[in-house]
Amino acid sequence: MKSKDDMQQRLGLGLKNMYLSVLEEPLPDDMLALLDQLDDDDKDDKDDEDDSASRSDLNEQG
Amino acid sequence: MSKGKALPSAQFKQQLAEAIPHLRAFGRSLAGDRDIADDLVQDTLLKAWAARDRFIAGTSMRAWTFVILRNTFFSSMRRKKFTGNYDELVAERILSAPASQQDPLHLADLQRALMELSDDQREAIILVGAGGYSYEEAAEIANCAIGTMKSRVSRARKTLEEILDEGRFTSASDGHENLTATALENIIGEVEKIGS
Repeated sequence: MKSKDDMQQRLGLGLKNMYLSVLEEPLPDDMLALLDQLDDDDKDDKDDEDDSASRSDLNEQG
Repeated sequence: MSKGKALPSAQFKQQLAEAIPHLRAFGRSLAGDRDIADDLVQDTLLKAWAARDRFIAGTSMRAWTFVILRNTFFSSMRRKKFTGNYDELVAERILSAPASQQDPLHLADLQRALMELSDDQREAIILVGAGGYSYEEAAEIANCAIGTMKSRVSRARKTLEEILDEGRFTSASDGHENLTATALENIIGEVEKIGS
C-alpha cells in the first residue's frame, strides 16, 4: 500500500512540476507582440470611425 | 438574467497577457509538443480577442481562455491540423522532487505516459492534477458533468500509475518514434470514434 501511496504522491508532484516548469519559462516575444498588434488594430479602427463621424458631422453642418 | 459587464480593452489585454503562461502549460500538456502548443495559444489569443465582448468582468480569464484553447485543440484534432506529439527536447529535463523522494519521475516518462491516455482523460488529469482546478471548475472547462470529470481523473490517475510503475508505455514498441506513432494512432482513433 505504501508503494501505491508513494506512486500517487510522485505522480501528483510530477504533474504539478511539469505544469510549473512551463509557467516559469520566459514568454515568447511574439505572443505579447500579437496582443500589442491586436490592440493597435483596434485603436486604428476606432480612429477611422471617429474621423468618419467627424466628417459626417461637418458635412451636416455645412 | 442580467447581462454581465464587459472589461475595458486595456484590462482585457492585461488579463489575457497574464493568462498566457497558463495557456502554454495547458496547451503543452494537452498536445505534448512545444511548437504545437504555442500555435494553439496564438490561435486562442486571436479568438479571445475577437470574442472579448463576451468576456464578463469579474469572471476567470484563465478558465474562459482554457475553454477556447481546448475547443480549438479538439476541433483541430478532428481536422488533423494538430496532432498529439511528444516533445523530446522538453522531455529531456528531469522533474525536481523533494529530497525525500528517492526516485523522481522523469518529465520524459510523464509526458510519454500522458500521451497514452485518451484526450478526455489527459485533459482531466492536467486540469485537476497539474493546473490545480477543482472538479467543478474542470468540469465547466471541459463541458461535462462533475461526476464525469471525477471518473476521468480517477481513470487517468490509475492508468498513469500503472504505466509509470511498470514502465509499460506501449505494447507495440519501446522506441520513441513508434511510441509516438502509437500514441498518435490512439488519439486519432479516439477522435474518429467521437466523429463517427
